[in-house]
Amino acid sequence: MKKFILFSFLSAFNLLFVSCKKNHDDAPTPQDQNETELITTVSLIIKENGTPVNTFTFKDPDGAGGVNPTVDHITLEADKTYTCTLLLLDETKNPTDTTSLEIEEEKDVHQFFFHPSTGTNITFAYLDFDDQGVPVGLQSTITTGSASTGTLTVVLKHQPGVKPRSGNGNEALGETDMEVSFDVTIQ
Amino acid sequence: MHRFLYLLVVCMLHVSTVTWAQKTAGCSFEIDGTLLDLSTGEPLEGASVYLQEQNLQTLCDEDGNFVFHNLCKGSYTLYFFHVGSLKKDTAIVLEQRKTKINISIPQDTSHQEELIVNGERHDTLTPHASHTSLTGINLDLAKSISLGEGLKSLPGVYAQQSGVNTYKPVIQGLSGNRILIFNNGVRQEGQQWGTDHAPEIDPLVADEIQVIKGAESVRYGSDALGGVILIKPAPLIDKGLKTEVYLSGTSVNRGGGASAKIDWAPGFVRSFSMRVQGSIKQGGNYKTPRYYLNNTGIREYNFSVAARKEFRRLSMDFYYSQFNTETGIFAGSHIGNLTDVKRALETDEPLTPQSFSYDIGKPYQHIEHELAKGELTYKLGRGQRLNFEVTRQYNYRAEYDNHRTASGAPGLEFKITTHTATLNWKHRISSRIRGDVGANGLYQENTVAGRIFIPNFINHTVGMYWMEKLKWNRWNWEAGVRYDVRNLKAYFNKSGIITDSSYQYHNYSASIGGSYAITDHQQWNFLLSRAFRSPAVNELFSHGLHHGVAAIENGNAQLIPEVAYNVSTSYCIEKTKLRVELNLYANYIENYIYLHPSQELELTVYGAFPSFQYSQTNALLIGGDLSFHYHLREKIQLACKLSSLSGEDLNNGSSLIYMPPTRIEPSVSYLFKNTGLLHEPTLSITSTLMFKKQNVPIEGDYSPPPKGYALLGLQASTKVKAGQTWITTGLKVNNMLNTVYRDYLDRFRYYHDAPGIGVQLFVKIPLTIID
Repeated sequence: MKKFILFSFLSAFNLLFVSCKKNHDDAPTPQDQNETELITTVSLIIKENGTPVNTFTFKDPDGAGGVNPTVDHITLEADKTYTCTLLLLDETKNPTDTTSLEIEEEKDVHQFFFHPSTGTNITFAYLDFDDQGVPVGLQSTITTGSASTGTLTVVLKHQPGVKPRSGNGNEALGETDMEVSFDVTIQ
Repeated sequence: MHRFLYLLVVCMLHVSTVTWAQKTAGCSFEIDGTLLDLSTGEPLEGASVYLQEQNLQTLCDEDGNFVFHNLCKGSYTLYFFHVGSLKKDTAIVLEQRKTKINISIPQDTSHQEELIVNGERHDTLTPHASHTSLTGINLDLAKSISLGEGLKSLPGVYAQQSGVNTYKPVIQGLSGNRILIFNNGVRQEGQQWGTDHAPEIDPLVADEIQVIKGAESVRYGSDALGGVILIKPAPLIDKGLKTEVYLSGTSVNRGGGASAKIDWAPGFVRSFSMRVQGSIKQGGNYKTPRYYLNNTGIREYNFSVAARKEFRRLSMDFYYSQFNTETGIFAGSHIGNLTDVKRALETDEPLTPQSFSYDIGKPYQHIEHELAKGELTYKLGRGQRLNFEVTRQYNYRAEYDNHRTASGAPGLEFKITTHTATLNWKHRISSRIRGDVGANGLYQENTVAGRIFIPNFINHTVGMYWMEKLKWNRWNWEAGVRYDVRNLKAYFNKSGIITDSSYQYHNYSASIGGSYAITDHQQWNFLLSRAFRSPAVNELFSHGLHHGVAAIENGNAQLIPEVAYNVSTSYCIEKTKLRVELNLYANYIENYIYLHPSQELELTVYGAFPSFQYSQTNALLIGGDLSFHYHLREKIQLACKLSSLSGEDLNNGSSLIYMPPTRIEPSVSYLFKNTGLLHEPTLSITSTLMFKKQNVPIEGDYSPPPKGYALLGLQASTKVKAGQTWITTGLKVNNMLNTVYRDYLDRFRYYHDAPGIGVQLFVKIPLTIID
């Protein structure tokens, strides 16, 4: 009996040691820093009656920190109507990852918001909607007014579980996945 | 006996080795004794001696010596208590002016449960440092919440919070990498650099939690610039089979916890004892006075196993513990950028509708911590011993957030494995001088996956130390030196190209301290120390966006170690009616590492962010802690705790950020009469007055310090006799007036109020199955 109990203890401890959690990763061979998902490039593809006019891009190839991003100046003609398609890329990946396609797939939890600064005569109207009929913003119509200058801020909100299921959406909810600003000239 | 227990509890509160003997008028006889372990001949340091006729209590010093002064001629009965031992009825006839006795007591556990019931145990402490402990009812209450939150009740101790579930202890203004936590003698190694990384320790394993304030690096290792927290489990029993069940509930998050402990010393295996302990905890969304906090649930399960086998001179100890938790993070705090922070600051209440739930969704943290320890102690005789200890810790941390990730993988994942070995020789040069010499080594490997915020690294540390204690009349001196060398190698991978960089830091720590027994009731302590801390891996290499705090943090590979020069002094007086402890300190830290805000915002695809760079300055922290107890009448006790400090950035002529505001905690307790059924029934009204933090730096914080607040609380506790055992039960009402407030040191004060009214309740049932 004594021996049996002692043996049980020894086996129990032994089992504990064997079942110790181990790290199978090796410190000297770290994971590539670029493996995580990133948005490096945001392009506004502007078309007039289906004909491409111009593409304006925000580009930060090395992600947050490091080299500062490059941002195109948006120039559009006054009193016109354009269509705008958003293209989001992760160019740290090879081949390049098209983030906007993933957003299209997950449109029920994403929405873009467009904010022209005061006095910038440009308005956006959503052209695409999620399954509940709430706007997404990958496609939109741009209407320009009289000549003016200012900035345009484009925001992408990630709203899992909180994106409204009716109406025009609510920017205050969720987390910001992207927020980029362009200088705008309407001439 | 009840009176004795009461006395015992009062005595437990003491933090000194000074003889605590009440003066009786007139006579000048004394009993001068030495207490030894019968089987080993070792002095029983810290054992307590009770003189029944005079209702006097004292503790044995390191040589097992004790003394009772100012007695009259006559017959006396002495009781001796030591962890696991008791001998009673030692009758002494005092005829000579000075009576010397030598007593040896066997390892007998027959009356041990009375010490266990109290949940407290004697401990002799280093004479000079300033200590404070969480024991007894206060510890039992703290066990129903988290470790960091529970420690906040101690003077000079505060907590840096990231919401309701993440508390990091702050000792005299310093936290994180600047304080060390020892879990059952093992230095806790996880990802302690993160402001939102709480210590991965289950407070339910503790029988006592001791906080040592000040730079105590010589004894505990480099980095301890602010202080040390010791989590001490109860010693294993020597005989019998005992269990203890602990149940707790917290109403503020509709949480509950259960823990069970089995202690067994099977008589048929000589000198073998063991313990198995486990606990589970679950809580849902917290409620503030005005709304719930979505996704603040917590789930935790922990267990530990301990075993000890003793031979005549050799003893072997084994300990294994596991800590597992899933902690929800208030969803409204996980923000994408500065616009989101501003929006949260502008609104008084969370934007999303809040309700109660036990569900934990993203964002959340999943944490596992495993600790294994083996220890060999060899008694060399005359109080000398050789000790060898090896440990292994594995810490896994996964942080899941709402940001876009390709799969269900965590956004951030850390795995750190730490191995340590320590050899210590406790020696004795003479009856007055004794000390420790030793060496320890550490090997640590860290890997990271997901968003790389810190790199993979391998860390080697070797340290050697030597300290001696000298007893001389009313003085106790201690001096020590220590030398540490640290090698750090970090590995980086950028698009498949792996690079590494190595750093070496070495420096010394030294301290000298003393304590002087002014009278039998008064003691004065001082400590002068020098300590250092090598830069931590996040301070050297962190790179990129810290989403939780909406800031870009850039490491600085040029950092050099911080060196702290600490002066502290304390005075304590212990009388039947009055007990006061005052501790004053100044901590000058050369090359203090902090996050320096840059003037410009950094532009990213998530928007613009303030950016911070790890920089160094010289810092000066000056402060004081006061604790005061006074028995107004026999049954009414007044108490007050006060902590205040100032932290200056000397190079920039400004203040340090996130220094705790001044806090005053007055309370009044009513001690009811003991009855056959109830023991020490106590009712207290407690209050916390927190002042608004003054003198904060202009930059680095998104909102000014919140206004001060006052909280009212209620606490009731008693022991209830149930058959042969005493059940301990306690209740605490926090924030009784449901006050709306936010705390300066809570990073989540940008997003939500602190919890509202809540009741904590616990029951602890010890059972002796075999005596």
